Amino acid sequence: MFGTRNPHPDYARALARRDFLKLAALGAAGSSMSGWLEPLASAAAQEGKHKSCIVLWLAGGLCQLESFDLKEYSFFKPIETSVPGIQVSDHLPKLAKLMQHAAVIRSMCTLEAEHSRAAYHMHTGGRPIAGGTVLPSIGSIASMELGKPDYPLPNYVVIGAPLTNGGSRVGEGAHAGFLGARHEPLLIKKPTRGVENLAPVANDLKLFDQRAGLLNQVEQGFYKNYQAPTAEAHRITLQRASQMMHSKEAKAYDLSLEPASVREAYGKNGYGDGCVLARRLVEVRVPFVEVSMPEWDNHSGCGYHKQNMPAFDTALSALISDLKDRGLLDSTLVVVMSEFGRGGVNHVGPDAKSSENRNHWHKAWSTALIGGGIKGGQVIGKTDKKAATVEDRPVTPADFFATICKVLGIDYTKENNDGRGRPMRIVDKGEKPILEVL
Amino acid sequence: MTAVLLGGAIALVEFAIREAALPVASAAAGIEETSPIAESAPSSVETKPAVAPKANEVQAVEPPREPEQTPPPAVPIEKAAPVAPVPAPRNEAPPEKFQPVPPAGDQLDAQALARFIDSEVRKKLDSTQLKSAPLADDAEFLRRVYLDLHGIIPTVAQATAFLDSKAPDKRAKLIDELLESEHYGRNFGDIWFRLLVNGPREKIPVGLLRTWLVKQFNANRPWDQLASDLIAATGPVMADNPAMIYMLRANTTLNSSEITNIVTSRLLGVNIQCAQCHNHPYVESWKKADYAGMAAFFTRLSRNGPGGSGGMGLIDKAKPRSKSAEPVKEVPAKFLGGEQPKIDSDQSVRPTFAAWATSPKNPYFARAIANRTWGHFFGRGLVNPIDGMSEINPPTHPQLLQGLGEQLVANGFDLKFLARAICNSQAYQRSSKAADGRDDSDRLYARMAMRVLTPEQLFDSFAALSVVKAEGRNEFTQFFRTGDEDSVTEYERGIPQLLRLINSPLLETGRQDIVKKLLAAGRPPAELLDQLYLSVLARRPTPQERAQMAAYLKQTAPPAKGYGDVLWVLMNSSEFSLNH
Repeated sequence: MFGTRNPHPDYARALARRDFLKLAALGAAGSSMSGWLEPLASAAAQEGKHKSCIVLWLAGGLCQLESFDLKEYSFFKPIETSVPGIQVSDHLPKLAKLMQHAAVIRSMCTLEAEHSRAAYHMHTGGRPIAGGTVLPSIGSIASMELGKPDYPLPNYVVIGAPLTNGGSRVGEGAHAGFLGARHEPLLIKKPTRGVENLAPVANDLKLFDQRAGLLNQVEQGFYKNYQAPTAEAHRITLQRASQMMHSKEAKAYDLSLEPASVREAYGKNGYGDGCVLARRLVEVRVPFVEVSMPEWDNHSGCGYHKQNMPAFDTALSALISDLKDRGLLDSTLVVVMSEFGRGGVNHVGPDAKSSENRNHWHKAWSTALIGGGIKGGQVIGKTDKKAATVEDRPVTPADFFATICKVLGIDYTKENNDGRGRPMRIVDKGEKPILEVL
Repeated sequence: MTAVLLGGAIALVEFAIREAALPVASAAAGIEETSPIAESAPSSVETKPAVAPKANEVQAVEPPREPEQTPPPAVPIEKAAPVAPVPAPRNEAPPEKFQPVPPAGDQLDAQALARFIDSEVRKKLDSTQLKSAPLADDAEFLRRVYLDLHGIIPTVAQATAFLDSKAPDKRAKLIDELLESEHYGRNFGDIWFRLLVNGPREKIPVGLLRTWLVKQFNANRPWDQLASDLIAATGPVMADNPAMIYMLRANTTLNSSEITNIVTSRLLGVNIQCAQCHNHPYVESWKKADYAGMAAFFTRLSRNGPGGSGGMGLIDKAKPRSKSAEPVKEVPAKFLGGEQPKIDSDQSVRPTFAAWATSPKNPYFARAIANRTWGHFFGRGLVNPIDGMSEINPPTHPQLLQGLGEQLVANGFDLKFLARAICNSQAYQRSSKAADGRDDSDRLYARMAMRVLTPEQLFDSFAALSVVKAEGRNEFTQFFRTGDEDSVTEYERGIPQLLRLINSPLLETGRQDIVKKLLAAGRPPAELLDQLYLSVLARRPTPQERAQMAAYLKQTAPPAKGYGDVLWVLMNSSEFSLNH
């Protein structure tokens, strides 16, 4: 089937394409060797339809039975919401009042039941293969597809404190894979502390500029003798870091500029602060932010959920209201998701009723989509009376991804080269986006 | 833009791949069953029964031909090397299938193999009319060979000694010296540790494996023996028996497909992971059955030490592990592209595999290590990607790869011998300055490729400069390891990494300490500048740079600040960031 006997040059070119695309993505300024510290060409005319996405990652696994899909076996009680006919947990009273903005998906049906594998699964749509290709996460895809080449801030940010016990780690599965370093997330461990090393040495931007000026001179000499994409990429990345240090947009990372009353409204805890920071970043048009909330890995009973849900309810509802007040809700998709749900199977055994077990459960669980211009106030899919199997409209990671892409305006049929000459579709074939929410 | 960059053949490949089911596609198309509450739910991939091995895949050895005409002398700028007879190339056309790699009939020493390398590289260059770059100057060579053999930049004393030496054979001498240093084993042990243990492993004493690998490389253990140990290691984990550690997890072993991926990619130079889920769309020889046949060597593993002691170790059980623990359907074990060995069911199959894998019957083994070693020194393999050996991805220099493999076999898989030969070649010692405008010049070795320092090289070089403390290595290297695999000719650092390099208060403190010490010694300014350049860039400044720096230092006070700025500049320069 291969017409040429020795296709090597083309094969090699396809592999090298990754460099090309990466460099091309860095902007037209790339070809100029002089003045690398000068700001890049001014922003292209901004598109009218800018969209952003905030993922609220509940690391460890939110139990559908105690949140969005209450059953006889739930520990918590159902309450009515602002949308007649839709009930949620009584531990989400604030969110209940905003259900007109939300589409709850009760029929998630995925393939992985171990934290890190499932976290990867839900971030990339694929399944991890040890020693195999690392797929880009949805955030890296958004960074590539929605990020502006000349934008001074990283286009993909992950916010969250490291975990102390159980569940997936912050940023797990959140990798650029073969899309390369440019689309790796910037990790913010503590929202109040902002970006690591963003401040120049001795907090002296003038000193930095002086040094950078001298570096510029030194580099000229090097570039005269050596030309290589690697040297060019070093120069451009340095330029982007410097641009970020000088940018007014970087102030978005400074939570101290936020009125105390706003932080109060979000709960003024690590998670609430993370959501405030996400909103600040979305305001300056960062396309993708993930806020990670730890400690949902509740294997028995509902203790962790009881502890976590007030903070989650407060931060999420404050975020929705805040985005709405600022006119950003229609352009910002908020996604509530975990690596899997809990319970399910334990209610199908001999000890069905007595069991308090809430082990990992991936065959029927819930996520939610809010804002971003979707049709809110609806429920997608249905599970059986034990929330153990999906009875209507199973949603696979590919379906879920395709839906997010559609809302954000990303063409998910596009193919990227995986660095080994193999084209990879953003979302794999067989996807059935949830058209009901569009 | 994408379409413009694609050649016809690749378009065909892409078409073929789109038509085939990709792994994730098949996963998403239908919901598969996984063990409901398993902490580690493996992928359950169905594989078809094995097909009969293809009889024609391993071809007979062709008799060696008479030596060809000696190659034309190198371009005038290169030092004239005495032209020696080179081993006979086996076949003019690229092989359709990889052939076995028998020991060379004509055993060469390292210098002669270096000349063979150059004649093969030269042939290809002549056929493409590419002009080759001049030899690297001493400083370029010095820094490069330290980074490649030791993983660190040279100290000021080492740099000065080499640069000032007038000995005509000082490059060959330096290569010998570096190969005998303990840093050689530390560097290659560290590299192989990363190739085998990818990412953190909780509750597994992975450090034992690293230490052991360092020892093996320093002792220059023959590669076939070392690889056999890695494949067949069994028994309890101990300091002197840690080779199986990369196969272990906290409470179990890696599953057979994970081990297959590591072993085929790292030791056989073949990437067959795609064939786990579907017949390989662009490497026609790999079928799901090949994958399952390979995986079958690793389905009987148990993490327990022998005798049911419960200690950590690795043994092979009589029966394969449960279906839920093994993603690949059980088929009889079959060598990659080869036959199906006869094995008693109560016997460990791994020694049988190790014996085949390291024998000349296996066409991949010697080539794989030759290619990986080449890739280490040149930034790309003769087959590239390094583990991309397949029929439709032939080597750029088939005879060269075959010759390197045969010489390696003839020399008892002596890896220092191979490294010595490569480092002594003119191809390795060429400058990385652009020879002409063509972008394929480094692919054909007309010049040395520009490589980005690996996270380990970067950290260890900082440590050598004493701007960082050794205990931060893990965190630092993980922070700088972005992207999905090491690809040294691609720049993988992002803004967070650059911000740390330019703004980290820790690095700044380290720099200030260096400058303080330098100034305290009370040396004249010109010497101070030499010291800074030698320590960071392993060379002295050019007259133009001296003038530039003098002008800057003149207008900057106090001197500590000025020299601190210079050090910052050098450490953030492209020249420092790259192995050039």
